Amino acid sequence: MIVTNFSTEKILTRRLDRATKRIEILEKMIETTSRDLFLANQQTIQEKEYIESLLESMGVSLIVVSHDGIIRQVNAETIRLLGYPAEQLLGKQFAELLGDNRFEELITDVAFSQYEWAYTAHDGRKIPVLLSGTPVRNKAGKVWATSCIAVDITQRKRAEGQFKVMIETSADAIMTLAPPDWSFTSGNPATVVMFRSRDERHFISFGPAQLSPEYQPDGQVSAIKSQEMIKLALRKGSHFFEWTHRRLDGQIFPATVLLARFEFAGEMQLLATVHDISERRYTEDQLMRLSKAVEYANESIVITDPQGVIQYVNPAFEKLTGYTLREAINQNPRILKSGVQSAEFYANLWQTIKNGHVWSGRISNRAKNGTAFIEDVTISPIVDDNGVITNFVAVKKDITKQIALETRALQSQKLESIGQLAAGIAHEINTPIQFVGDNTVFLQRAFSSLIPVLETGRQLLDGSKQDGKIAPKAVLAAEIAYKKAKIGFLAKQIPRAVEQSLEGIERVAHIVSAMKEFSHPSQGMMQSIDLNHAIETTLTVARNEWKYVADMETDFDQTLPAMMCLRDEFNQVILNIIVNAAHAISDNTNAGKDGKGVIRVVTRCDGRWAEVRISDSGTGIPEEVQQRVFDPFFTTKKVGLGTGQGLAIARSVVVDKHAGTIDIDSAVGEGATFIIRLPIHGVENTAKGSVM
Amino acid sequence: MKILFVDDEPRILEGIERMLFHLTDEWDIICTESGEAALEILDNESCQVLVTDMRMPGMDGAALLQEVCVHHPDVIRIILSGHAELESALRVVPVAHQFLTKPCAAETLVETVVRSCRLHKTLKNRELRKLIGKLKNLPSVPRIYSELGTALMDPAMDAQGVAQIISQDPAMCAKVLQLVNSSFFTRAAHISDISQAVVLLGFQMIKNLVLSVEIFHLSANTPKLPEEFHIEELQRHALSTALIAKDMFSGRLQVDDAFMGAMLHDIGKLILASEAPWELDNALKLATEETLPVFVAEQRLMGVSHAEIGAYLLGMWGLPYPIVEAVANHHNPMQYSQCTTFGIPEAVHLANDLVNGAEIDSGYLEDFGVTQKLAAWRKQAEDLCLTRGENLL
Repeated sequence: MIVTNFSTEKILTRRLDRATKRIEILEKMIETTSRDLFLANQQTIQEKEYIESLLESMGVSLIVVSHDGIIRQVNAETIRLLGYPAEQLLGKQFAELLGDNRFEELITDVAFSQYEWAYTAHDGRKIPVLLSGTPVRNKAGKVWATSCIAVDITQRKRAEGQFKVMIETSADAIMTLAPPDWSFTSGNPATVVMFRSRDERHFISFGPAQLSPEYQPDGQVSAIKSQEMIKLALRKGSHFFEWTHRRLDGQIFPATVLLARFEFAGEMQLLATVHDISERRYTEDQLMRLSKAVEYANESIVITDPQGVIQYVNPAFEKLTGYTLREAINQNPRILKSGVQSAEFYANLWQTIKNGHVWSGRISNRAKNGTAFIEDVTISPIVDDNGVITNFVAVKKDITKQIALETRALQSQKLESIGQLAAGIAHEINTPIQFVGDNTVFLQRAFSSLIPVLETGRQLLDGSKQDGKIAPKAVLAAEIAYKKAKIGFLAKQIPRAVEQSLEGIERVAHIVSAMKEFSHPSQGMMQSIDLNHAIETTLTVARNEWKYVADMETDFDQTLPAMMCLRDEFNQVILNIIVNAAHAISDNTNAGKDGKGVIRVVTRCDGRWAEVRISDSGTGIPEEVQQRVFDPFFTTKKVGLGTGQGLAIARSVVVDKHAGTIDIDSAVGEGATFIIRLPIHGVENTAKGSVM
Repeated sequence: MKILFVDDEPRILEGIERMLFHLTDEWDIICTESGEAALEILDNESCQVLVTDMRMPGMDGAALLQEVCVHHPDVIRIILSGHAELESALRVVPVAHQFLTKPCAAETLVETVVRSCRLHKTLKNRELRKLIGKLKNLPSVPRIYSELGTALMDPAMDAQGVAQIISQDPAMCAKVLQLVNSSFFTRAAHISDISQAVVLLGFQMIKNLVLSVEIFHLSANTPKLPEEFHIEELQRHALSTALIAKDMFSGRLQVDDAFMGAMLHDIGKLILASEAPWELDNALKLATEETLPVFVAEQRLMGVSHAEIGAYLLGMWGLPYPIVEAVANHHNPMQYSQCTTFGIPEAVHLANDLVNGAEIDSGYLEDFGVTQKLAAWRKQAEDLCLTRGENLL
């Protein structure tokens, strides 16, 4: 206890000393203050007002904090900023405004500037401020308070935040480079992703050279060229260029780079914005390919505006028509017009495409030098998002050669079937020639055996005229001659020989003229023909093909009017079907050894259509074969017996060239019927028909 | 003589009947319109000759001939067809003796029938039959020749295939090549490959060569050949005759037939040499003693000559009648009074005489209208004689 007492005493003594000292100080202060105030009373009143008004008019917040942490003075801006009434602020702990006690760091004898801090407003909002402080001294020069000037940086902070987000979320890689060696100093997340680095620090550990391939596409060394780019950017302020980068995983990619100079901490730095353009390059390549495709296409391609004014033609068009792109632009496609198609044809075409539909068909056109050509054309309207037609695109294939080839194929099939027919026709002709020849030899001999009869008869006549007496010798001679001549046989046979010879000659003439009629080329011209007669001719020519295996029945509708046809090609169709029918019957009758079958040809006039039905009692055509018989090169015959072209050509002739139809009605074991229907009034005004 | 005509066209039959009416004393003509009816007639009547059309409804000509070949082998079978293109195909199958195409001239028809009948008579000769009966092993159709015949029936057969058949026998191969490269066939380039030879000579000619090689080969192996018989000489003679005879024609079939007929015209000698060497020896001796032609000596001793014997064998093998006839009659051809056409037998006869250096009957040539060509043929024969030294076997 004694100790305690002693120490208490000591402490108390010390306190007392201190208090005494304070009192002394206070006394002095009061003394000086009151003296000062007193002295200054009159002189400073104006000065004080001036300062106060100055403070009030400051656009920044001013708070004077005494070193005990109490707010001593505020200006109007502070009140506005913090939303406190002035009386609540004065005497408040500065720490409350700052949100912590760190004010002790600030409130010292030393001035400070530009501290980023935040005030807590009356409503609890944090207001970011830039704080500067100046110590306030009393008359004795002692610092007793600090005046804090705060600039509201809410706007700046917000902007900074936005920039940060922008940079953080930018798809472009944004990085900074700093001298002296222009290595990276920072990079946003996109940079990390773009270059495939782990994180920003990892990224910065690489130099620009490591992020580029050794050479740029123009052949320059990347390390050298990048220095040039940097120099340019520093000189011009910024520089935009394309650059090929290399990701850390080794992948090369094209990019655009914007290098911009900026000053930071007193030195020039560079901000680089790298935009990966591999996507764009891909799209560009894609577009390039498409445009190359259009350019190199074998088909002519024409693009027009909605009025039909040419805006583009490709080189194939130039080559085919002889009009260059320059010549064709701003022209109407009618520069190619050949006059083959009618006005209605074009009207129909325009109507179709202007209604937004695709038109396709065959057009006969004329090149710049007058050469005619035939094209398969597809014209498509191009519409924008609003459904408005912006362009028409025509894709046109020159089929002049193809048509020539098709014609040649038809011709060769015709020749082939004529070759096949020739042997049969030779037989058809040789048979009458054989018996006409035999009959003529007979007539020759008959005549020479009759001469003695006539001779002796004349002698008898002469004798009876001269003296009325007939010499017995002459009678005997006449009798012998008469007997030898076999007059009875001759009298019976000569008329028949003559009759059959004439008939034989008629038969030959008929076959020859049918042959001529059958094979005479129509030169692709539609002619008015009698269908019945044409069929009859074909049956005559092909007679040798069917006569051994089948009887021919015909039932022709005589009211069938003459109609426009490609005569030779129609004949070809009938021939092909008849020959097939004969083969089918031959298969069914053991080549005629088991008796003949029947081929029946019927014609009918059915309204606007002429119908030809060719039926046979052959083997019939299985369902699955029926679907293919009109395909080119499809054949069920043995190798060497059929080319598979006959019915394909039949279909092409009937459907493509006569706008008709050809169908099969057949079942296995029940024969087959081919039904051909042709429009009586000729081919309608179709694109296909008009060029044939 | 009874002749049966078959054709599905009645006017043809009527025409033939009328044309032949002047022969009604010698010929009895029967006509019918179908193969079936023809067979019925043949069953009931003894016809010597059948002339038929090829394409007919029901039974066609080929089928009819096949039937006749089996059931009436003695009937002479002639085709009269409007389908000329069938001839080559039909020649491969020996169902017809003769082939005529429509339109056929009256005299050709008559002549063909006459020739066929004459040959038929020759082959039916009693003396010949007697001699043939004595020969023990008459050679059958040579193997490769018959294989080629079968193979060539296939229209898709090509040179490679033919070459393959011939190549089965290396000896045959070598012989054919030796022949085509001999101076008989004057060719610029040496032919070293059998398929090349096939392409150059054609199927028919190769087939003919094969047959002649095979026949000469058969006899060459006979050990008991008569002393005075030189097989090599015989082959050289045959080839020379063949080359001259074939140049007397231009049509492909005729060229082939002429070559073949001439090539084989002495085949009877080979048969005699191997099968009846003693008789042949006697005949050769007689010919030398009395300076007679060999065939006359043969006839005197045996009643028939090698000509008929050879023809008989070829007829049996189914060779076409023109060839058989050429072999049978190469010593005594048809006279112009009987025939007007210069046919294969006439050509072989003439070529044989030219190669033998015999006197040529100019009147005979005049009748056939070939006098102006004689000089050229004679020159060719002389040229060929110069090749005598060459070894062919």
